[in-house]
Amino acid sequence: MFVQQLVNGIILGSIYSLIALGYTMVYGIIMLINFAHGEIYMFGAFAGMILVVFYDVPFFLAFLLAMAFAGLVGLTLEYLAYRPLRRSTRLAALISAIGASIFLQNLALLIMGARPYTFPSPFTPRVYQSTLLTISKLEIIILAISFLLMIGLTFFIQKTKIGKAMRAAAQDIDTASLMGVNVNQIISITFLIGSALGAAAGVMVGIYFRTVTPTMGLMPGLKGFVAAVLGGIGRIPGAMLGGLLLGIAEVMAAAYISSQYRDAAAFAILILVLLFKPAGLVGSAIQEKV
Amino acid sequence: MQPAEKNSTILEINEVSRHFGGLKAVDSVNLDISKKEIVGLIGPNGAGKTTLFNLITGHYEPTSGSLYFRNEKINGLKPYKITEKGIARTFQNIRLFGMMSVLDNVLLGMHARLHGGLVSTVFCLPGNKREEAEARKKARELLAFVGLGSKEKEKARNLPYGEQRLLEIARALAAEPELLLLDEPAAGMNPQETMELMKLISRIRDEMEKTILLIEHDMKVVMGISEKVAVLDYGKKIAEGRPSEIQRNEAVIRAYLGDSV
Repeated sequence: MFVQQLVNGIILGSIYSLIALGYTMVYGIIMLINFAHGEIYMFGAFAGMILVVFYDVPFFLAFLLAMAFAGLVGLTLEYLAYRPLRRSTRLAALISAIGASIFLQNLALLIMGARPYTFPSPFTPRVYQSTLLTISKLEIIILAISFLLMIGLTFFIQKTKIGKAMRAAAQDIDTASLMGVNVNQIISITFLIGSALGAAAGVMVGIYFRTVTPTMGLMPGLKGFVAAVLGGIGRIPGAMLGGLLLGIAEVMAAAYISSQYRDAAAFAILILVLLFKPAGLVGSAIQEKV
Repeated sequence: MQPAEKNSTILEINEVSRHFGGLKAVDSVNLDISKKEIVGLIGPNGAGKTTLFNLITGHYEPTSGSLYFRNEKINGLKPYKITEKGIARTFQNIRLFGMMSVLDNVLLGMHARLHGGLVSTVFCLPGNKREEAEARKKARELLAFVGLGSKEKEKARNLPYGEQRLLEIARALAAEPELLLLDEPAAGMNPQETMELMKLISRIRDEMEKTILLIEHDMKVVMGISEKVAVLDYGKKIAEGRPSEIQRNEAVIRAYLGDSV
């Protein structure tokens, strides 16, 4: 029972991690909580569903195209809603983010209507069973994709020239620009990658629950945010860890307390983290910026 | 102005001013720097030395006047563009990326010289891999040059102060600048480290053929390695000349010691 719940928690958590990465990467560079990130996730899910259901695109190609599409939506969002406010107060950008979230959600309602769409699973419903654990093929694929994306991102951030520029910009944006880093380009790439990861989560949740709706981004968006805060917002490993822990905590609360409490568990964690460890699990005390 | 003379000038600062409200931080400064020259920039605190650096690197725009680098106007360009053109700097208050490794800091300095874009990176194109490998090799050479060869894996913030200054120099050199701006490189160094720094600066000019403009309060350093010294006071240039001339210049002595002397 426990092992089963743990694995379920990790599956859910890996989805939260992917969403949390989008929040944390953006926050790390421009100090903005991109509250429209949940809608990017929803757009990704819709793009994947439309390609698979209406255009018979093979699943993995549709998956990549959905990530690319959502990446472009994120890029455009930054360009139109956040870049003009770069020099104004952080509150202005935050309000712009909330506005963008409402706008994108209603845009989806307008185009697709309020009814849920079915997103059929492309995989044969095979289930692997042992005494400790029951896991479906789909769940294994979700886990594999999530971890591959996270490993890929870690490699990208640590080893490549653009990844280094992103880390540098997150530490000190002015000095980075003096090193020859084109900061606007780095911010665009950050939105592109964060949004693509969010879309990957959206498509996987879509096929897991077999439904896609215009409001599906709201709750996972908030949970991703909680996961990012839990890990230490602005910290990429923190977002991965925070997502996994949040997923496990939620599943455990549902299993051992009551399934009614799963969302309560997530937000109780947010409150506790903010009260006792506001810098998050891997965050250090706020660094002075000169 | 003869053409020959124009050719050897690498940086031309022409009547440059920068005002902050009523404060004239830099006031109609003229200064020419020739290729492979080491120029010292001195002046009392608040004289406008760092502001002048910030004007050259594009961090501030001049209120008036113009800056020419290799006969090309550079005022109004973004800092990263000016880095691409060939000007790199170090900072008075060290501004390394403390959480990143020593090697990564140097690699970041090369940012402007590497081509790997998003597409070639994501798809791991072979040219991109080769470039990154070459960049690492060059970064290690630079670290060896400044004497930090054995420290590449350490986090920058864990280095002692003097070594952080050397790392800043390595990082600036990584951008392959023609002109290197050093803002108080000897600050916080002990006499031994200062001696080695002076040797290093001379080697950067002699072996790497760079031009160097240096702000420094340690007169031993400035007078010891500069061929030309310019003195700022209240934003104005009050003297320019060889170190020996500057040491005897009355306006300079007055600026440093006050009128009563």
